[in-house]
Amino acid sequence: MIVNRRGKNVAIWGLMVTIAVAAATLATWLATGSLSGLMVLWTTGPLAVVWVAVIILFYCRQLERQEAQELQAPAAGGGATATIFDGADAGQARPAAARLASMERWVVPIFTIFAGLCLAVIGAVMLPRLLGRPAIEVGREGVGMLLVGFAGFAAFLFSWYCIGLGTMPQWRLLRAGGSLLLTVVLFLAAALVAIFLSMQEIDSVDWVVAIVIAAVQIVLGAEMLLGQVMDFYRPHVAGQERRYCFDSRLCGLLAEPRKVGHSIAETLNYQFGFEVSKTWFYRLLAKALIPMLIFAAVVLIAMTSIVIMPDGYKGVVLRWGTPKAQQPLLGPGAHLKWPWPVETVRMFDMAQVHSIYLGLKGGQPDIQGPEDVDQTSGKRMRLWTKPHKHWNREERDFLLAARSQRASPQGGKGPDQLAPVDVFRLVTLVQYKIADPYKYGFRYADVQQVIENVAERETARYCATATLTSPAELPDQPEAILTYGKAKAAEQLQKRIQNELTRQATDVGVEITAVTFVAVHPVSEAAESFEKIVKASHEEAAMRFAAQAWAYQALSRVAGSPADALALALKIRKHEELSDIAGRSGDLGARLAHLDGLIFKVSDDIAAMDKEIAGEALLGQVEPYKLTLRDSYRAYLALLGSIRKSVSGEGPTVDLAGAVAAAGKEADKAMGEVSGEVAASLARARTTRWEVEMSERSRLAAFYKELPAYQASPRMFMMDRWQDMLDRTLPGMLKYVIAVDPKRLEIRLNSDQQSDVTSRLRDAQPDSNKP
Amino acid sequence: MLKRTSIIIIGLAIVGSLLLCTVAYTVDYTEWALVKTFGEPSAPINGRTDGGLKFKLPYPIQSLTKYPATMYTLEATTIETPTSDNQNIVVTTYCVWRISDPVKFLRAVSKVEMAQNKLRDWLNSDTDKVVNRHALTEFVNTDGRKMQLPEIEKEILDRLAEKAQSDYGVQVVSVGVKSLALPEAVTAAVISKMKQEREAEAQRLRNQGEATATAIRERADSAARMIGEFAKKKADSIESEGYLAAKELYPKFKENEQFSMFLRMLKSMEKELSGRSVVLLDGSLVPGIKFLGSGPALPEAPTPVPVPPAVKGGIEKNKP
Repeated sequence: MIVNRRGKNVAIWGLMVTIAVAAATLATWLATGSLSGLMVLWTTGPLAVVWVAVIILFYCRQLERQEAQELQAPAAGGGATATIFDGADAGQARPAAARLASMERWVVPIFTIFAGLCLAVIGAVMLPRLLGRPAIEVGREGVGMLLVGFAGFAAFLFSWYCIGLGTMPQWRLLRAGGSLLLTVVLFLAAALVAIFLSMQEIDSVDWVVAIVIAAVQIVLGAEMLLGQVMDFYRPHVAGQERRYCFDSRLCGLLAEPRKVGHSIAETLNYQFGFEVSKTWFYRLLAKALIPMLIFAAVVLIAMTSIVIMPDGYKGVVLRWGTPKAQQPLLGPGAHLKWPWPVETVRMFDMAQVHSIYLGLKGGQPDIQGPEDVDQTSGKRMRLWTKPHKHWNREERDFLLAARSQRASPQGGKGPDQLAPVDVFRLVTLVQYKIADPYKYGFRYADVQQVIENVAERETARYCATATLTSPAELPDQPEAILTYGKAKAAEQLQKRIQNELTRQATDVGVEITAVTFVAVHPVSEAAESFEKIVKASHEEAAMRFAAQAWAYQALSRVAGSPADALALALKIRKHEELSDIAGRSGDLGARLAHLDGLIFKVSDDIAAMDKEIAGEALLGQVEPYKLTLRDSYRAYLALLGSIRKSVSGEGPTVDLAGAVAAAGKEADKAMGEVSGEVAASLARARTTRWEVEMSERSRLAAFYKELPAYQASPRMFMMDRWQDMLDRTLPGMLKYVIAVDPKRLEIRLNSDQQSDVTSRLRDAQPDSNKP
Repeated sequence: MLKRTSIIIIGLAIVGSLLLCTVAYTVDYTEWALVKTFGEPSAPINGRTDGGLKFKLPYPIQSLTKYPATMYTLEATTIETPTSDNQNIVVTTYCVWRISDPVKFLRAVSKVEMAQNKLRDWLNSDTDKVVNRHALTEFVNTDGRKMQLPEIEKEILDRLAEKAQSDYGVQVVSVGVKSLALPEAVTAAVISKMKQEREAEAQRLRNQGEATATAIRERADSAARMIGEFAKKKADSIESEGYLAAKELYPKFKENEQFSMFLRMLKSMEKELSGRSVVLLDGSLVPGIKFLGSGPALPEAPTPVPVPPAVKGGIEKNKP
């Protein structure tokens, strides 16, 4: 009875120690924020449950012993008097024993399952949360270490006391609480080391210890639950010592580490079929284990003095965390250095191309694997009119200055105005490589974020002055970022980002290898109106091309080719206008005004040609004759300018008559060189000219030849020649002889039936079917 | 005995290592280190200039606090705020900062996260104030001279840097406007405006096409007509040379003008009659035919009469 009372008291002390440890770890967590401290706190809950179970069991055993002694006392006195319990069954006769049996049968499993569930659930809930968060910075390490240290020391002493008592069968129950308390002590020791390392700015150990504790909780909880399930099917032999399931065997190994080595040796013996543990090698291993472990540790540390740099990497050697002065970068291959922790090496992959996407919502996308793009008819399509994503990231709006902005009348201080901006979407891929590991690796806490921010800023700034489709108002300004200025924009943006990233204050030691516009387009709601512009521009081009075709045809018909025609037209115009200038006299003001008008017209024509040539240059198909023609216009403009200066007396005298003559010659020469209707017309004129002359000459020759015959007999000659003519012409002709008195004859032709009459007359002719 | 000695050595080594850890420390290239003696910080150690292995007295006499000497980037909260011309815009700014005075930093905020939170509040506030003082056209403008983003960033930097340095021992290296956007409702209005602008632009393009086509045709037509007129003038000039040459021959015909005219008329008649013609012969005028009615007689010489080609004169020339 005394034994059980003592066991109960020790268990009560165990519960109090557990509560004290819980209070200490709670205070530690509140003071330091240590995750490992928090996890130890969670472990004390199930431990308390175990202690309560132990207390209850000791108390029930105490009552049962007391009851047994009370029953034995009368029997020892020899009294066989009947009692009111006579005839009752064992349960009614020994209620304390029945209570103990009931406790062992129902309450112990309930406590075991509860404690196991607590451990498993706490571990399962906390483990993913811990894995999903980074290490935190532990504060007030000194306070935390004191609390954890004192609690751990007290718990260690008490747990050894309980484990020591638990080696005796009558106090075996204390082993369960003691071994679990010892496990908590180990957790506290790990937490102490973690907090200590946090003091040395190594915060990650605290996070790792918390994760390990959570994992151990899951294992212990699973062991308890599984053990309890197995216990339901395990036969219980009366009188045999029973091991309760809340008495963890795993924790028991911690309590008695020698058992671990013993178990390993027995396992080896069993596996190999002979006494492996008695061989010289096993004994040597057992004796020299510690020196070997030390040797292994020394070898491991020595190995840290060898550095092998992979291809494409550069390494920076840090001695006590600081780069060595004048130390060249380590290239690919094997290198020697002082072992850890004296020297360490930071490696940088110089060949890797890093990518940053700009213009997407929600940060950088995960670009592993293929991109999910909308498909139409089995083809990957990304259209303006459909909103689309890039690696599941939505596109972001960019602001662009609109050219048609309405200025505020108060110089920007006025009331509400229409926002002078356009909205469009721009997704940019910025790619870079490390150029200087010292700047890249040691200047910024997060280089990628710096590059992303700078690139975003430069893009926003570039767009702030860029136009969407129209030309820039000023030279060297970003323009037409949606159309022809896109390639130039990417190039300029790359330069801007590179310049900004290599500025003295913010140099990050990278080389921007490429800036690519992945997507540039208007927002989908406005996309259709942009397509209408494209359609209209095609219509405009179609009208222009049709007119040009007509013009080419007309000019080619006239002069053989548009180039010749336009050159000839300019020469003719020049000749005509110069002749006009030369023919004017009198009022100087009127002459100057006339010249100014001509200069204006020619300048206007040159401007139109410039525009036309610029348009063709964009398409890469400028017709060479237009450049020549423009030069001719410019030369004519220069001549007009000289003439004006001459007329106004501001410049040297120009030989106007000579200029007119030269222009006339030029026009005549050009006229002779062209083909087409002009050439035909001139050829006809020349033919006519010679026909006229030659005809008269031949007539004169006939006149002189036949004149003597005529003079010999004028009437006969005339009659003869007349009849000869009729003989030659009349035979093939249809003839109607009117043999009546002409005075009685009236010939009427109905104009409506003229064609019929004519055709009948024609039909009557022998060769009427000829054309 | 040997085993016990080994255990003692290992124990001593562990204890020694732990003790060494409490007195030795390293200051990395990217760190500031502050050694505090009973909580009072001494002069900070800059890892960039004075890094490496250092020693101190063990805890709790001296304790160590380290801060990063690297630069941090801090993104402000995206805020909607009006410009001076009452245009609401959505602005996101960021700043690059670093700890420049670790002692002040330790006393003022002590943790990087806390400093980030304070700086973010200030950055938001300063961004708001500075944006309010500028018109939208100073943020976005096709005229690069009027776009004031660099100046706006500098204004925010000046406001932020002074406070951060004096209060927290933090140097703000740069401030940037990371993104500019419009509120959702304004964006919808801008999109509507863009659509209308594009519709007008499309119509303008079509009109321009018509005008350009007309101009091209007119220019070509004008050039063709000019060339045609000039060519006609030239051709007339050439033809007139022929008549001029013929004129030189006319006086010679005066030797017998009647005969020359008869020859000319005869030539012309033959040419006119050589085509397909219908001839109506007045029997009373033709001697041969007259003979049919009045019997044989000597014919008289005919008087040459020009025969008109028209039907009215009795002869109709067929059309081809």
